[in-house]
Amino acid sequence: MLTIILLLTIISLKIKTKGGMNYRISEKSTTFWFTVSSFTKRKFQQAKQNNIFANKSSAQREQFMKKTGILLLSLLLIQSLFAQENHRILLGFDFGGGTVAGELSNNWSIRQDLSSYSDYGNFSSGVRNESSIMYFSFKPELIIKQNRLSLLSGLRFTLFDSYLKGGINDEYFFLRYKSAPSGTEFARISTLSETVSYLSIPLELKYVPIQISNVGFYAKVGTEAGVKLNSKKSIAFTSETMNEYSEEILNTNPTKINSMYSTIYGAFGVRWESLKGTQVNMEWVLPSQFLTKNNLSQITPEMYSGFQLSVMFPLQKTK
Amino acid sequence: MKKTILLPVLSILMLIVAGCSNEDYRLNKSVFIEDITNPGLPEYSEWGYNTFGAYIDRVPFVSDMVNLPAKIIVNPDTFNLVLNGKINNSEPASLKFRIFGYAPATYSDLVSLNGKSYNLKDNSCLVELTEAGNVTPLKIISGELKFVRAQKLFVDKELVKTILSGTFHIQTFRKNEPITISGGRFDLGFGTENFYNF
Repeated sequence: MLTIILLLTIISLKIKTKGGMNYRISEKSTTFWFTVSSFTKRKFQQAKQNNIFANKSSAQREQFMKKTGILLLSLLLIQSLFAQENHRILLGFDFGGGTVAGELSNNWSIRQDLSSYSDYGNFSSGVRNESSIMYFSFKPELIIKQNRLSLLSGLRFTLFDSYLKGGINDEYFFLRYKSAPSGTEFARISTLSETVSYLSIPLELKYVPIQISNVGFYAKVGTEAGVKLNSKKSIAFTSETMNEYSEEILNTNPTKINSMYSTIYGAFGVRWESLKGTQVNMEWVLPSQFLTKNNLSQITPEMYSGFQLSVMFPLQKTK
Repeated sequence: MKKTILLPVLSILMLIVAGCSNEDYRLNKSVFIEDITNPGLPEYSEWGYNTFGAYIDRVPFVSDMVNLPAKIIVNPDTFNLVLNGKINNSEPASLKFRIFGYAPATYSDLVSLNGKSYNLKDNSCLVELTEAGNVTPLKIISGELKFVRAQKLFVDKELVKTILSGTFHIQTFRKNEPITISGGRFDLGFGTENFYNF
């Protein structure tokens, strides 16, 4: 909802600022806020009159009130950010990537006979999880507070690659894929691979507390929500004769990949701005949390971190 | 100086040895995953981890990572399951279960033990404890050996072993004093390297 409001606002501002002029939005913003609050108030009164809460449980009522409250607070925040300020719009792209940490899915039965290896300073044994995230976004950025505070949204394409491999000195691991009275069957696996892609809408708030000449240092928080585009699993055996059993073995893991995707993240970055207003940003993405489950089936992803590079181009000239 | 040269040479040699080792060696290794509710003993498992363990009163008697933990020796009409380990992680010892009148021909025939349990007080059973080279037939007060699961193990569709997993407990005498061997569990793989029929 917030993203839609933001995008609509950006679009309406763009329409109203033809010719690259800066603008003041306070009057429009006040009108916007007044219209939204009147609409919400009217809807709430109608709901009360129609007694729609009569059949709702207290939990549902509480949830409705909570959602309404969050919506109103968000609108208030947007309105207050817009009040009495000059705004600029930038349009750009970002590209980022990093590693994904997570626990091995309980649905894989893997024999624990693998050699130990050093894992971020700790000794671990078992399969190695090599999972990564890579994304590419198209993002408008709305600078709303003296080149210090900005809101970003847009579209993001995210690709996860996940590989499970043997221990550091092991070329393979044993996967138990059948356990029946007739016998138990293991397969020697060199790699289990999975690729999942999502399309999401990010919403980010960026603050630049330190600006030295045309270089700024900033912090960013954001969240995103999206849907699955594609997923693919594959398996590499040590023996080619096993290839015909790939499907059977892959299907022993019943985890269905979530069609929804959401994360919450933060970053620290540095921004360089040219005289024409073009910005180049480099960010360190802090360990960030997944809000949805089962975005990968091989592992339970818990967090990711990495780096991001973005280039933003101004849509209006700066004053 | 010598150490700095020796270390990389040793590392390279270890890598070469690891690279040349038989693939099935991994299935013969012991994988000890400690049972947190019974410290010192391996968890009960059915993976063929080649471990066993029991408490002799309060002292753990468990398989180690070096010696072959178990052998099955079949004489014409007697099945012998030998568990080799250490008492209190120091004294080598072995426990032998002898079952008369059961004689599997090959290791794959061991699946006939699936779900079977033996009352160790019966005349068809005998248990021996070997400590410091001294073999002591145990006078059983009560006891049971249970094969919870016997399963053929196929790797990449080829039969490689039979896994026997189960439990045991014994009340007996040791040096004329009653003792209890409790919490016994085993998860052992048997193949050509530790199954003998002669």
